[in-house]
Amino acid sequence: MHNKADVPALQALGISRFFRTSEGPVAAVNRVSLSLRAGEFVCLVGPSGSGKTTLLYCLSGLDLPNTGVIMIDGRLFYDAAQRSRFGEDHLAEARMASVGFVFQSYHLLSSLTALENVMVPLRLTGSSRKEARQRARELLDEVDLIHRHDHFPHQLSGGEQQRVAVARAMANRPRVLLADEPTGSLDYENGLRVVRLLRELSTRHRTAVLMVTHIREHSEFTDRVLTMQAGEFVHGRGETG
Amino acid sequence: MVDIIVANLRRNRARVALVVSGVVLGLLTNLVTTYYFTYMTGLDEGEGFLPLPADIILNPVTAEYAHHPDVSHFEEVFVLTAHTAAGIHEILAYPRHSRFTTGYVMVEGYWPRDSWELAVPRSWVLRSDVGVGETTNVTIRFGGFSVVSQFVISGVFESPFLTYDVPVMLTEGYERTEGFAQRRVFIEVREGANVDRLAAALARQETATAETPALVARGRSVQRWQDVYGDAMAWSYTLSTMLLVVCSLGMMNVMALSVQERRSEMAVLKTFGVRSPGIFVLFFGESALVATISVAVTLLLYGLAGAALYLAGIIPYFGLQWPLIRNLCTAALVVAFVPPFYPAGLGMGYSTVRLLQR
Repeated sequence: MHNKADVPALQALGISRFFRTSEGPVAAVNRVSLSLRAGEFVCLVGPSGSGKTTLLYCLSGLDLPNTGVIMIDGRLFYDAAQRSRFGEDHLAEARMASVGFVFQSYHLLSSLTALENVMVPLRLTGSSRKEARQRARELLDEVDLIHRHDHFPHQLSGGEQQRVAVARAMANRPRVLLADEPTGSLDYENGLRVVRLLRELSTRHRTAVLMVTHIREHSEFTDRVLTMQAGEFVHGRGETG
Repeated sequence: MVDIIVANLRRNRARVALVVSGVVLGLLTNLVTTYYFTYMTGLDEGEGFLPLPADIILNPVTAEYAHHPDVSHFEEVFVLTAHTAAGIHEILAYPRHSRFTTGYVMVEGYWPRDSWELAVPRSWVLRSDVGVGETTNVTIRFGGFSVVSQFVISGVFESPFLTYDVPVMLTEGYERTEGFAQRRVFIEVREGANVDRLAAALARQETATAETPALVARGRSVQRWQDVYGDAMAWSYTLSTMLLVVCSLGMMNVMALSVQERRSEMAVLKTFGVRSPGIFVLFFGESALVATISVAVTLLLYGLAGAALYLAGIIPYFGLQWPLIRNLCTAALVVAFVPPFYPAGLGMGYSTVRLLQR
C-alpha cells in the first residue's frame, strides 16, 4: 500500500509530441519522462524551440501527446495508447480539479475585477458566490493584492496582473501548477517577486510547480532544474531523468 | 458563466449603444416620415389621417347589439365570404384586438367611394379571377345568419410589407381601421331569437352608413393620403433598413476588434476546463442580454420620443406601431446576435493551444 505522501503529484512517462511537416514528422517533445513530488518546485529551462511549452501543454492536457502516460496524484490523467478514452470532457474535468496554469501574458478576463478573475475557476467548479468570494479574497491576500481586489486588469501593473493570475491558478487548490514563462513579460524585479510567490505557494499548499523560464537566476528558488534541448531532457542540477 | 456574461456587459456597452441607436434612428425616421406626410397632405386630424394603427373600434350603433335581447355572444369579428366566378371564398376573420396598419398601395382603380364598392388585395384578385369593375357577391355572416350583398370591385391594392388579405369596404368603421379592413362583428343569437329582424336591422345600418355624404368625402381624402403615405412608408422602411445595415457593420467592426481579446478569454476558460458548449453558452448569453437590453431601451426611447413629439404637436397621433416595432426589433436581434458569433465561431473551431498562440 502506498503512503499518500509517496505518490508523485505529477508523473509523466514517455511523452512524445510529433508535428507533421512537409519534411516529415518533427518531434517537439521526444519520449520525455518526469516526476514531481507534492510541494516540489521544478524549473524547466532550455533554448527557444526546445519543446518546453509543448511539454507543458501536453502535461496539462491542452495538447494531446502522441505517446506516453500522465498521472496526477496517482490517478490516470491521460494515456496516449487509449486516446479515445480520454476525450475533451474527461480532460476538462480533470484539469479543472487538479491543474493550474499560469501564462506568460497573464490572460486575465478584462471585464472582471481582480477578485472576480480569481473567482472564475471556483465558480466553474460549483462553488457558491459567497464561498468563491471568500476563497478569492484569501488568495488575493496571499499574493498581497487584497487592496486592489476591485481593480480591473487594465488598472494593474504587469507584475500585479501576473500575481492575480497566480492566485487564480491556485484557486481550486490544484495538485500541479504549470507556469509557462510567468516572468516573460515582466522586468527583473517583478519577475523575481512572482517566482518567490510561486515558491511560497508551492511550499505552503504542497502544490507541485513546473515553471518554464529563460532566467537562470530563478533556479535559486527551485528544488530542481530540468533542461530541455531538441525535445529531450539533458541532465541538469538535481535532475535524474 | 452567468457572472462572466453579466460582467461582460461592461465591455458590451458599445454593442448595446449600436443596436439601440440603429433601431431608435429607424423608428424616429418613421416618426419624421409621419410628420412629413402630415405636412404634405394637409389633412386635418381625424380626417383621413391614419398613419398609425388603432384598435378596431366598433360602430357605436352596432355596439348596441352587444346588449340586444336576442344576442347571447357579441364579438367584433367579421367574416366575408365572396362568391366569384372562381367559386366561394371565405376571406378572413380577425379577432377584436387585431391591429391593421399602413403600407397598402393602390395599384389599380380607386378606393371605395360608397358602401357597395370593394377594394380588394391583389392576392385575392389573382386567386378569384375577378378584376376592377366586375361585380362580386359577398356573404356577410354574423354568427348563425348571413347577409348576401353585391359589390363592385373598385380597386386593387397591395402591400410590399404586409400580407393582410381582406377587402376594403367603405363603412363607418373604415376610418378607424384605416381603410384596410372592415369593421368586424360576430354575433351569436339566443335560441328562439328573431334572427330575421336582427339581420334586417344590421343590413339597414350598413346602408344608412354608406349614404352619409361626409363619408364619401373622407373616402377621397383617404385615397389621396394613401398615395402619399405609401411612398412615405416605403422611404421610411428603406431608411430604417439602411440604418440597421450600417449598425450591423459597426457591430461587426466592434466584434472584429475584440477577436484577439475574445480568443484569449476562450483560451483561459478552456484551460480552466470549460468545454466548447460552455463557450457557446457564453456568447449566446451575452448576445441575448445585449439584445434584450437593446430592445427594452429602444422601446423606452421610442416611446418617450414619440410622446414628446405628440405633446409638442409635431405629430397628431402617437401609438406603438406594432408591425414596425416588430420588424425593427427582429432586425435588432439579428444585429445583436449574428456578429458576436464571428469570434465565437473562430474560437470554438480552434484548439486551446491555437487560441493561446498569438
